[in-house]
Order: sequence, then structure tokens, then C-alpha cells
Amino acid sequence: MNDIVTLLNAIIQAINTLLLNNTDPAVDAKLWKLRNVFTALRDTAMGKIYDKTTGDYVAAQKGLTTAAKAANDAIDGVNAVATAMQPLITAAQAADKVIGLLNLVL
Amino acid sequence: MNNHDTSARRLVLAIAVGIGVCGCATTDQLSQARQFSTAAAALATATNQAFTEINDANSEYKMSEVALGRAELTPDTLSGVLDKNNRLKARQDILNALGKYATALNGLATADTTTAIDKAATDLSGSVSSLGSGYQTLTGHSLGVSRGDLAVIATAVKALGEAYANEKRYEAIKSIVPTADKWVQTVCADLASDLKSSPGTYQTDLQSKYVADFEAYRAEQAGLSYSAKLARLESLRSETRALAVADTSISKVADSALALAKAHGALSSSLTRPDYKIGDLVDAIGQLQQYATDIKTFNDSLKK
Repeated sequence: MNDIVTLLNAIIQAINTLLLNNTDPAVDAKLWKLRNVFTALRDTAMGKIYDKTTGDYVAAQKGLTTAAKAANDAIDGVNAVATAMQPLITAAQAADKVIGLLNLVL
Repeated sequence: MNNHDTSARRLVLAIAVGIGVCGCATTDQLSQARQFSTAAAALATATNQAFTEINDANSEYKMSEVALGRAELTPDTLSGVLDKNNRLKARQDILNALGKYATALNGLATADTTTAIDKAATDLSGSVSSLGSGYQTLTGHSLGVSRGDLAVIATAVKALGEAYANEKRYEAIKSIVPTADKWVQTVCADLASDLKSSPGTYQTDLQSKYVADFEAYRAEQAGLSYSAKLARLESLRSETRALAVADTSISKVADSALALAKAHGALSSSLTRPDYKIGDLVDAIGQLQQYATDIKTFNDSLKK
């Protein structure tokens, strides 16, 4: 499984694509907020070394992978963008537990 | 002709051939050392510029978010990822040290005044020390630069004295390059590994800036003239071009670090192994020169 920074980049890129395709202002605001959170997490995690064997790290990897898939399904039209929101929020919280930036309450 | 005459002639011929071969090898390897040094220094500079570009892309997307009203302005907005991340900054310091080492090596291979040799000696010691400290910052481990190693370098340079003959330069480089090779191999492998371990970061930052510019265009297009719209659209198209090659370019930067290590290793082997094929060294340096050109081309394309 990919490391956290790679997965965070994949999610940010997926959110960027959703932002380019989206025309709903309410969804737009949520996507921007999520992108800011994921980018802040990514910028903090970059270059740091994490123990990849801990339960928190593995949970973050799983959450981010699930969220990336949900976001890409929304890009492909398999699911609505709204369906991807909860996996993205859950993944951000799981990643933050490892990175320790925000103590996220979303 | 008696046997003694024949033997004497053979001996004289063997010595003459031997001197000829040694002279050629020395000249060839000095020439290769110069070519390596020039290519390595150019590569280090070009790679550092690429790091600066990565840093700028990081701050530019944050500035675009603020300009769009999607984020608040904070001191962090204006700093790139290199500015706030010691490990990334350490990589840049290591590249600077590698470039300085290569330049000093070139100085040693070409110096023809005492002042120039003194400068090369100072730069060599300084660059090796910087390699060690940069590596320590990056990994938390010592690179293993010992006082004995530094003494080898100092002694080799000192032995040059005021004699600038090629043989003397060759002997100095023959002492220094194999001593430094283990450090160059270690730091280059580490640089490449780090750059490859987080693929997509640079591309993501470029994309985030593009999204902000795209959204700003959509919001503002009604008030723009035809020519202003075209200019903005052209700018957006340039961004998509940069996006398309972003990952490839970073991967090339990582590979170039490995090419630098390979060429340095080949140079070291050519100096220490009599059976080493000079053609392998020429190939390795050729690859290094190609990487330096490619990365410079990439950097130049970003400035357009």
C-alpha cells in the first residue's frame, strides 16, 4: 500500500478534478474546505518519517485509499459527489491521527 | 644481433610503451574527471533550480487560494515546502555540496596557480563537510566522514605543491575520488529515494494552482475583453502543459541523482582498477551530461 503522502496527493488531485467539474456552489464550498484540510495534512507530512507498522498508520492508509476510490467514483459518475464526502472526512480524521496537525473535528 | 641486444631493445620498447600507456591513461582520466565535474556541477545547479520550482509551486497554490478568497492569509501562505521543512532543505544543501565538490574537483584538474589549487583544496574540504552535515540533518545518521578521510584529501592536495603536471593532478584525484565515492553513493541514493517516495506532490501543487486560476476565470470572464480572455486562456493552457510533464520531470531529477552516483563510481573505478574499461566511464558521463541538459531544458521551459 502507498505511503500517506502519496495517498494524500491522490486525494487532492481527485478533489481538484471534482472542483473543475462541479458547478454547485454548496458542493464547491465543501470541496474547497476538504482540499485545504488534505493539503495542510500533506504539507505537514512531507519529508517526515512515520512508523508504517502502527495501527493508526494502517488505518489512515485504508481510510485514504477508500476515500480516493470514492472521489474517483464521483469523477467517473459512478456515485454522486455527496457520496464521497463522508469517506473523505473519515480519511482526513484518520490521517490527522497519524500526522497530528489539526485534531480534526469536521 | 646478439641475444643481449634483442633483450635490451625489447626492454626499451616495453618501457616506452609503458610510459606511453601511462601518459594516455592519465590524460584520458583527467579529461574524464573534468567532464564528470562539469556535468555534475551543471546537474547539481539544474536540480537545485528544480527544487526551487517545487518550492515555488507550493507557495503559489496557497497564494492562489488566498487571492480567490478560499483561505485566509497567514505567514505560511508565503512560504514554500522547502522553506518550512528541514528535511527538504537538507536535500537542497546536499545538492549544493555535491555541486561544490564537483566544481572543486574540476578546479583541481585544471588549476595552474597556487591560489587556484588552494581554493580547490578549501572548497573540497568544505563541500565534503557540508555533505556530512546535510546528510546528518536529512537522516539523523552520520555519513561517516572521518578526520582520516579529510586528511587523505588534504594530503592529496598538498602533494600537488606548486607542480601542475598532469601526473600530479592525476595522483591527487586518484586519492580523492575513491575516498569520496562512498559518500557520493550514499547521498545520491538517498536523494533519489526521497524524491521518488512521494510521487505527485509537485504535480498536485501545480494542479491546485490551476484549479484556482480556472475558477477565477469562470468568475471573472463576464467582465473581460476578448483579448484579456484569450490571454487568460493561454495562461491556463500553459499550466496544463506544465501539469502534463510534472511527474516525469521530478522522476528525471531523481534518476539524475542516480546517474551522478553511477558516473562518480565509474570515475572512481577507472582510477583504481587497471582492468576498468574507459568506455564504461565515458558512457556514464555521457548519461550524466544528458540528464543535466534535460533538466536544464525543463527548467528553461518553466520560465517561458
